[in-house]
Amino acid sequence: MTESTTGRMRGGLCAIILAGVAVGVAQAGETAGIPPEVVAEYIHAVIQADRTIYSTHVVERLQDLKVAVAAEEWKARGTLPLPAQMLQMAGQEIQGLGLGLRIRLASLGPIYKKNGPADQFERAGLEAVAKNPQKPYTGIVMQDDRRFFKAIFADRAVSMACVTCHNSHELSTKRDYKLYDVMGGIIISFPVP
Amino acid sequence: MTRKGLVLGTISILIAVFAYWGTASGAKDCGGIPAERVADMVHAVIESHRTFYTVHVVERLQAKGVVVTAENWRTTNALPLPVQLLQETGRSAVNTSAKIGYKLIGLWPINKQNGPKTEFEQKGLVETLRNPYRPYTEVIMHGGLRISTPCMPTGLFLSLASAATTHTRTVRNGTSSKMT
Repeated sequence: MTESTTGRMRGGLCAIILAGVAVGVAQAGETAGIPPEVVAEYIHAVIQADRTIYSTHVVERLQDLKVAVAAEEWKARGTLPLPAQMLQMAGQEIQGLGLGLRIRLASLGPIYKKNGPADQFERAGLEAVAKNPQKPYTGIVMQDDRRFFKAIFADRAVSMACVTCHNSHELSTKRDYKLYDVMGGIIISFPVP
Repeated sequence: MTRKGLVLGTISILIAVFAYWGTASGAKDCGGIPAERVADMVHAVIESHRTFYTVHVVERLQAKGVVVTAENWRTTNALPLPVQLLQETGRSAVNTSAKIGYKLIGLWPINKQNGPKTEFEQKGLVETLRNPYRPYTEVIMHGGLRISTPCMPTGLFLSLASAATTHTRTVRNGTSSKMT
């Protein structure tokens, strides 16, 4: 074996050791936090659980028992709030906490304009989840010089209260929703490093 | 010659490593979120929904005489108690692909199963009793998934579990959480 070959082999061996250290550092860095995609899944799972249980155990059950109904003008009429209104109000409270976390409902065909897509990212996301409801649409967006991770999950009609409201509302642009149809998206965003 | 080989070998391997790094983690565009911040956000979502249900549904409709709440709500025409709604949502969330679970626990629970089950939970509840504004957190190594069960309203135990093996558990405001 020549001196140059031995030298190359030693060099290669040292390089592999260095590479191993570098990969180790890279992987250690990855365990320092939870990936934003996973965080969004956590938050979405809690939102969905809250809305589904409220819809089934409270709204639908009490409506079936003829104890109370859900209506958009719940404050004035003394009725139950609609499931969508619970999410909207919870989102407003969360926004006031200063965590940078925002959640809201949006749709390509909203009853109210304010619930339409706020920008091109949201429009593209709502179109994407309408086509493929199983996969959230995600990305990094800049807001006030801060980086935010934004995820849009398909929002389905989780109860007949959603279907009835949208199909009968005078401002509704689509009136043929069925149970579990995709009605829009749940938009979740939070700051990232 | 040895030095030249070392330099060339190092450069070529590091290029490969950084290429791997770029596709494996850098392509995600951002780093991970610290576990404590994630617990804060998840806790905010749980609490905001519970507050909404308590204030705008339970208290409001009871005051108007529309409906009452009862522990045995399933067999009556009553609303579930706020704590029961949280128990139900905790059971529901853990069955999603995110596998996030949460429960309420207390040092003096009405039902025994809602007491602390581990040293961490016991310590967390004691600590948050002393300082209700500061979450109690701990990082542990765990080989499997943790599935939580719901408890009483003095403590909320979150279980944010996926396939990873590092868990951070948090107790806050009499509430506790755990995440992977």
